[in-house]
Amino acid sequence: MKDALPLLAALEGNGVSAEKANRSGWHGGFSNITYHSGPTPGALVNMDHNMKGYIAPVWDVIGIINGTSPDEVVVVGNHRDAWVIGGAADPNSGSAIMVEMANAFGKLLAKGWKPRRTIILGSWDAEEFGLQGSTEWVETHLPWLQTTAVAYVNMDVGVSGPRTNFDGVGEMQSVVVEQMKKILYPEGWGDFPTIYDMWYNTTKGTISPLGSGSDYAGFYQNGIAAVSLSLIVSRCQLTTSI
Amino acid sequence: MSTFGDPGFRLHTAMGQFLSLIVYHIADDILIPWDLPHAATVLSNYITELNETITSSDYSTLDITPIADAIAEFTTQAKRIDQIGKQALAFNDTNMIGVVNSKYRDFPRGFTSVGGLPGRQTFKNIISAPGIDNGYGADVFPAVTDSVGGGNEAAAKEWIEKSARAVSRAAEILRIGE
Repeated sequence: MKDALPLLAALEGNGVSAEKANRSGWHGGFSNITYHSGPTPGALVNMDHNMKGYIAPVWDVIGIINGTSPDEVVVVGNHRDAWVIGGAADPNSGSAIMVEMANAFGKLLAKGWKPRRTIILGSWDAEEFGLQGSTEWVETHLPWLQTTAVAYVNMDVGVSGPRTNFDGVGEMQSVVVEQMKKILYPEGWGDFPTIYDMWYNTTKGTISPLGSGSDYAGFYQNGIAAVSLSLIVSRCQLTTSI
Repeated sequence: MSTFGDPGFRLHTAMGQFLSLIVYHIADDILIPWDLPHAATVLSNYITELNETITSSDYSTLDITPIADAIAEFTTQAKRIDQIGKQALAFNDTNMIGVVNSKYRDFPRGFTSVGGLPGRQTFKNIISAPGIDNGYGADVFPAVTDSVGGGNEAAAKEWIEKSARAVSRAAEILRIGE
């Protein structure tokens, strides 16, 4: 962030101030900066940007657990591509969680369980390039999804910190909040009995509507109920990192 | 992660339990576990937000009662289907449970506008979409908000009507019998 200071300082007093724009997230954390939009006449920035341009395949990995009611489908997904080599939090923490969930459902299946609704597990590729993997999958299966999809549950940045972030449609909010109350909050991350207590104390129960920036967009923008979940450092961090 | 982010992976474990329980209930509950009265409350909060956007804009006299009326109808149908669903579950009325489940599945399709929001075809949901200049954030009733922000009063009026029709369509899908 230190590197941004000279750029922010050069914008001071030019264009629209953050106060005037009156948009959430336009005012940053430096108390001595006014966060103006610019442009600043005469300011010159030289930028070197090295990148490789090439075409590569995009692979979505899809798992299916057939339900007893074929015209009701629940999709749950997390992207697998990362901005960087590694991507421990974004997205691999979520991929690890998805694999563990698949393992748990596998154990239930081995005991003879069959869900009422078909569960589709999506490990999306090329999310960071513009939600490409999930959007292509949605568009390819759109007539079927519009007939059968009950919901899409998204996870992105499964774990990058100790605070729950949860956005989504009204009809799904209660069931998500109810599950939070059942899960013990691990020791060492704050004195909260359950995930719900941590979430409610840090957000006052705020749940935002869905915009874009993760794989729920293709589903939600085609009229499928959706929620998006993550554990993050703090709630405001989400608006800058995914 | 094992050194700094989540030693012992206890946060991962909690998140895994959280996600799995959500998916388990949505996939396997007899009645899809939706809270339609709460969905109606959320829509009412969004119209309050839209009203604030409009009253602080250059078009403060724009009439959004068509959307408010549609949300009132949505609220009526939401309360009704919620009662019918709970009753059907209590009496194990499998036919009615099937009807309610299909309506719970289908009603949000009504919120989409086939041609997309003005100027951006891939965004179709008239309830929320990324703000034109708001990064990862979301605007509610984005087509109306964008039109007001872009200084296009005629488009704002058109999208108030279209958004109201979309909410009405969702309410209509929820309606049972009568």
